[in-house]
Amino acid sequence: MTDDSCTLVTRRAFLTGLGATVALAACGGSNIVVLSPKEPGAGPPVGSLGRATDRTLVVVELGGGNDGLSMVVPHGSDRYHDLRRSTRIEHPIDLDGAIGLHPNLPVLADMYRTGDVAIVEGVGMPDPDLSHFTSMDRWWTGTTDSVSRAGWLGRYLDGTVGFEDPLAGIVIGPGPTPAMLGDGSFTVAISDASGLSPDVPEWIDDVDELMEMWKGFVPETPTAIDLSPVQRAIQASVEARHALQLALGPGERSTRRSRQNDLSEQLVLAAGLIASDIAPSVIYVHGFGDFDTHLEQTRRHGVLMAALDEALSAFFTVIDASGLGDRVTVLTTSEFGRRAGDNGGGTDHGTANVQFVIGAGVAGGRYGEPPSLTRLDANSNLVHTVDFRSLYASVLDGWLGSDHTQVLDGDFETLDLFA
Amino acid sequence: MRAVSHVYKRLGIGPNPDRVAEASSPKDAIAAILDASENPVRVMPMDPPADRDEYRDVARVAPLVAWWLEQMAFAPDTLTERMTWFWHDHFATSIRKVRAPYLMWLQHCTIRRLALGPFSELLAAVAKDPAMLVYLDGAQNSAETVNENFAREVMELHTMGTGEYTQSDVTEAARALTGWLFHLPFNQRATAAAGSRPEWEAFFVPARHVQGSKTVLGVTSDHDLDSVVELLVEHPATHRRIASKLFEALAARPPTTDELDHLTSRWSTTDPTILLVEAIVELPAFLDAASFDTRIKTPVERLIGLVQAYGHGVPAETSYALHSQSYLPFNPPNPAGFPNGEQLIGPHQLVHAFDFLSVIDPPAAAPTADVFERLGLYEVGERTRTVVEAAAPSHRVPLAVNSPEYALT
Repeated sequence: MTDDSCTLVTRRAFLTGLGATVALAACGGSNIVVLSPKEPGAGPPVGSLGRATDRTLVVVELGGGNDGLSMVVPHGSDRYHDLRRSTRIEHPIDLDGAIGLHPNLPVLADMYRTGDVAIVEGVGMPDPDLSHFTSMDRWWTGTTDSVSRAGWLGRYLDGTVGFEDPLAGIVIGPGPTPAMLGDGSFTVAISDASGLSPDVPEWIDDVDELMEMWKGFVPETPTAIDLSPVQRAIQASVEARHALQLALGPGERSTRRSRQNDLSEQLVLAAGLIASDIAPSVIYVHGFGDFDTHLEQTRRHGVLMAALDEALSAFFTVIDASGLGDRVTVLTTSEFGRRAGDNGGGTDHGTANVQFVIGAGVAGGRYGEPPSLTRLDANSNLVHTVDFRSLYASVLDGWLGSDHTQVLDGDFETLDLFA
Repeated sequence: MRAVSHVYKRLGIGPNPDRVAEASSPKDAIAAILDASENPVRVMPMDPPADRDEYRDVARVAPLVAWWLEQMAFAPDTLTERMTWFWHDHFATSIRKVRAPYLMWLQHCTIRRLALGPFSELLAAVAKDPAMLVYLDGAQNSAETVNENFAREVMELHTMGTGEYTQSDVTEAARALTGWLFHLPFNQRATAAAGSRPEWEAFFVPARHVQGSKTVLGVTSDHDLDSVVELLVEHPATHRRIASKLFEALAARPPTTDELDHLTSRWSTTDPTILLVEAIVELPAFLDAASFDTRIKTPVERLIGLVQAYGHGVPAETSYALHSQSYLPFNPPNPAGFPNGEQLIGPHQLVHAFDFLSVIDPPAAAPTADVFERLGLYEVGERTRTVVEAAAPSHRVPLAVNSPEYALT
């Protein structure tokens, strides 16, 4: 047998955990070098990154391009009123004479006044191309480099827990997000309190029994190191499902089509997970709302703002009642802001935007620099003043106790967002 | 039987149990598959959209996905299905950005037609393909605002691979690629610029093109799209990379230097790709029993295997299940294509692999040996056999398709 076939027997044995003796025989009993599952240049190795174990980051993705100028309104500027003739916010909740929050964000305004909200202004990227797709890809990967395909939080999980803890990162939404996809860690995605459960046809009557049988494919061994990747993933699946059932209680069997992506439900679910034994390091919430308000912006965006405020209020009510206020930070993201001037009823794709960082651990106030409303770029868009990777770097280093240079595609200036 | 099954799994999509039964040997199966490659290939007719709303109606992609999956499962020309998927992944283009099912379909027809044809023709066609012009911003790339997106990806992903070019090559190639639009009937500007050119076809607008000399890969000339494509097609790194990538797709490991030398001596980028397929399957590596079942199945392969074993068609539930695995045809997550390898075996993916069972009716009770054979599982470990045998009859197929063995192909 050639060396190649030896490697392949070993690889199959390695992947499935089957035929280890066959592999030994085929390779003449020589030392078996198991192929690394990781490609060269993959994520940081397990344990190479710091992790603040008692803290959780909750990312709330406002997909479609949230209009930052309607969320944090520069009402002190005459120019704002000129640019936004049909979509201006008439009665923002004033914060400091220059800016105010959307009137549907009263809870957030109160939290700002008590110092729990950092408003980061002018967040954007170099060479913005105004495409949802490209811009989301950059926000998800934390790079502007097309080579890197792992998500920024996936890389963080690769370098902290690796495959050891499948529930260190949990996605709540309609499916996994590329932001949490790592090269050396698992992704668990749930859409509601039914947890991690398959959506099987009616003729499979007993899902719990099926899952129990499924676990039978995994031999009982003292450590996961002895398991193949497939066995390890089956074991992680069953364990994660079980831990989620314990944390969330018996949920109704849901179907994919019944799911609503209601932000309040998603965030209350997140709060429940944080308060449970699972205590994830990162929760990523997505699938809520359509912020791509080319038309009918005032009404549609207003509804979304009210839902955001209500959801954050519900979330922090649970968190505070559990006494976990100083352990949780919420970060908002969105692929871009919207065009400086409106289009007569809505707004088109833009660039620089405002994001919130929220929690008792946050040093509240205004950060970054508000983008100029007069000096716009060639497409009449705002010019960014804070690189989106600086925002990520600030959270990775300042909140998660990590090293952003190992996660993002460079060394970025950080903001002192945390108390 | 196992070797014949292997041939179908690698040269087609799924184990094709009914066809495996017809072949007497692996060589016989290879010959049958190569003979079955059709010319011209079949495509589903699709009417062009009648108006802008229909053009933008993303729901119109659903019947295209269903038709495609049906072909993967049951079309006689399995090699065209394997290669169409290979090129869709290679020239990944997503409906999420293109937002026009008809453009995706035109691209699909082009890829299907040239799936076994010369790489040079395929690359030239894709570079002027309307969906690609939208997806990687070629239609935005003009003398006024040069857009590097396609220039970079065509070098990095579609041809040479990283390390073979500089940023200056990207910038210069982007300038050379300027000036291409396509005739979109519902767009007045495009229609005016297109003049008498056929609807839905790409055309060159000299006024949008950067004139003058550009230096790409060391060659200075008044480059345009055709000359850049030619440079890339002729580049040795492209030759080796395509040969290597297809070898890896079919043989489940990278080629050795000797193997790659052999392949590149047998096939050039201007020869039909079927010659490369023939060269690969003739190498001992392809039928080496040690290479059987060593690649992680994609969600599409998991699903198609189940449909071939127990399905009657491809119901609408299929799309939901594939979408939640980030594996819906026409919707790759990014320009690098679909995830593969160990990224496919996390808890989310494995738990929701049970969702695929929605595409079949409850299978009749059958001995476990038959279940394994229908699913192309010819070497099953003792543990798996015991678990499946101990299960209630309605749980046997569900467990078998979620066994460690079924995860590989």
